[in-house]
Amino acid sequence: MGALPQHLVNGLTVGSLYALLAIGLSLTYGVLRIIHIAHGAVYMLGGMISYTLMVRFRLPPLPAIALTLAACAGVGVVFERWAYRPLRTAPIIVTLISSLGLLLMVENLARIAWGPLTQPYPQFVSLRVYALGSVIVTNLQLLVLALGLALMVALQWCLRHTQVGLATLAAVQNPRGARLCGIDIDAIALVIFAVGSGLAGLAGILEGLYLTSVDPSMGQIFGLKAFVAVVVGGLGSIAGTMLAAYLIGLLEALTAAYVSAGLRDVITFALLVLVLMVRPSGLLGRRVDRA
Amino acid sequence: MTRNESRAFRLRSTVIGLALAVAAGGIAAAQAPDIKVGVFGPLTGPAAADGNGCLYATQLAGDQANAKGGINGRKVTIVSADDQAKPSEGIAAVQKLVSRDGAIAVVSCSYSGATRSAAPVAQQAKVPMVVAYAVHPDITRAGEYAWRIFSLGPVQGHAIAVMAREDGKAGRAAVLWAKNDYGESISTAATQRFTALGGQVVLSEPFALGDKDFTTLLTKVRAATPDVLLVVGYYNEGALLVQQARRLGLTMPVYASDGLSAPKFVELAGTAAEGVVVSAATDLTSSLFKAFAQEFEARHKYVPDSVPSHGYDAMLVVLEALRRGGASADGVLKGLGEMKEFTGVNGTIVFTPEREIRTDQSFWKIQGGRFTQYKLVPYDRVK
Repeated sequence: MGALPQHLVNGLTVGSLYALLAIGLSLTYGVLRIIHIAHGAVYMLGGMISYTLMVRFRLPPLPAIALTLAACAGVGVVFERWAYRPLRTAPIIVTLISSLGLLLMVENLARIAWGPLTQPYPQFVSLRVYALGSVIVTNLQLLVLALGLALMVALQWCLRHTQVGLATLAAVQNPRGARLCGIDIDAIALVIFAVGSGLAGLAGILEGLYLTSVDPSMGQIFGLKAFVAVVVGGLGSIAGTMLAAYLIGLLEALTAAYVSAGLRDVITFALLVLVLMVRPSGLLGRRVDRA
Repeated sequence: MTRNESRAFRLRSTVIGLALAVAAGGIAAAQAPDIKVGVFGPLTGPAAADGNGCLYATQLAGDQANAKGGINGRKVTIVSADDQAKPSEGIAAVQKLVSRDGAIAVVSCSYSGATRSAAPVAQQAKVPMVVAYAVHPDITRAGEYAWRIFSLGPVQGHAIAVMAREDGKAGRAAVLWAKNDYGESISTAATQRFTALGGQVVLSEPFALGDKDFTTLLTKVRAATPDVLLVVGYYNEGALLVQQARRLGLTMPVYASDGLSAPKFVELAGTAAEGVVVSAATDLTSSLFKAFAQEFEARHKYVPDSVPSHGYDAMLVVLEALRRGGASADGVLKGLGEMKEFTGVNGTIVFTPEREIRTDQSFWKIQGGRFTQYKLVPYDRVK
């Protein structure tokens, strides 16, 4: 049991990355009822674009990160405007397939652009290791944790205290009702795609920094896990998604620690099935509207 | 023309066209029949560095043979197939090479999983397959068409254990292994031999291919307090594992399987790779290896490691078999049977009746960001 605090720190760090990614998915599902699988591709672009800007174009880290976030937000806006909006009234399966197509297309383009190999990510934050008793925490873990939490809090604040945020919440709660009240769903869709994709890009950068490498396939399993967080947390429930993301991170760490690292993904997806069996609407979800 | 007539005309022209095309193909084949040798391996996906490096090396061997006039005046052409290191794709790859591309011999530039599933396909098609570096024992058990020029997984596992116990003077070992054929066969043998030599394996844990976060596993390693860390896996996971280990303050020596003996491992792990000892059945100091490495680097702008050098040797073995037995699948098989001993860039190998090889196990150490020749474990000690 001596290593338990260490496993918790490790799990929460990864949970932060999942949460940053899942939040965009939760918002897009909440407002538009889209299962935005291609979100994982944006996350991958975050890692690959920032890598290229720093290594190939020799940009300092801060401008490189700013440009990357802008690029990811832009990609999100393009997705919304040209891949999802024309399908707004189509059955959900059609948007799902469109999204899957986007994911495969972006990944394959990335593989052509960058080659299939894993690349070492520039470590622009020099590593510090802190020992708190028997627990070892690195400054990178603290950075990921702090940034993750700060952004969640900031996002929640924006949702509750700004006009766009309130309109988004209204749209999440009842898209049709919000539209009837004169809320411009198109504008909100663009904003949440921009913000969600920016956060996904940031998660990609943080993964590069924390796990020291990036590759064009990195979005697949990570995107899937974020999606599990959205479903387990309750479709459209932002707080539930964040909670679920941290829980998945912890569960994975504890599975690897006390069961087997080889079973980590199996257990994550088994959890998905289990939660859906017991609570079909997710941990904090309400009844899902049948539109 | 009536409708029927026009249909008959169209049909007739199609048939004539087809006949001409077949005849043209026949003539072309009669004039310059290249000998087709198939190569399959992971050309895309996480293992692509190995697959492509190995393929480049076979192409180099083929081009060098062609430059010297080919095999009895006939040119050798390499046809390739991508298996993404997946067993299911391994089957499809060999089927494509044999039935569509007309390969009369196949080189496996792939891992154990894909090669193991491909071996019965080659066996059934009666096309000889020479395995460059896949280690699972079942591969050559597929039948007389499967040959291997690389040490078996268990042999390598024994050698790693001998090194860790004697060179690392370790009493307690933690073994972290990739959860697949390769990882299992090497780590099981390493564990057995390490214990047999009086050591204690205090932790043995698998990890999945594609894993990136090893902090939890390494936390367990720290709690188990081993003297030495044995890593059986590939360069992607291995690099992250070693790097994260050093970050968590684990300073014990690392002994690793040949999957980590790739330049990409050093590139990804950076300074954390320093001092890591990896098994690699290649003697970096041999003059044949140096000549090969020079030529390879001139073409592809990077220094080849164990994987390309074994791809090169596998192709040399096929070429030699072609010379001896003639340009047919049966000829290659006959040639392989006659070739009791062969000297390639990785040294001299002797084939056993089971179509395996006897050879010493070489170890490299990473020093100053480069692989350097370190020690040899003689074959007698690891069989």
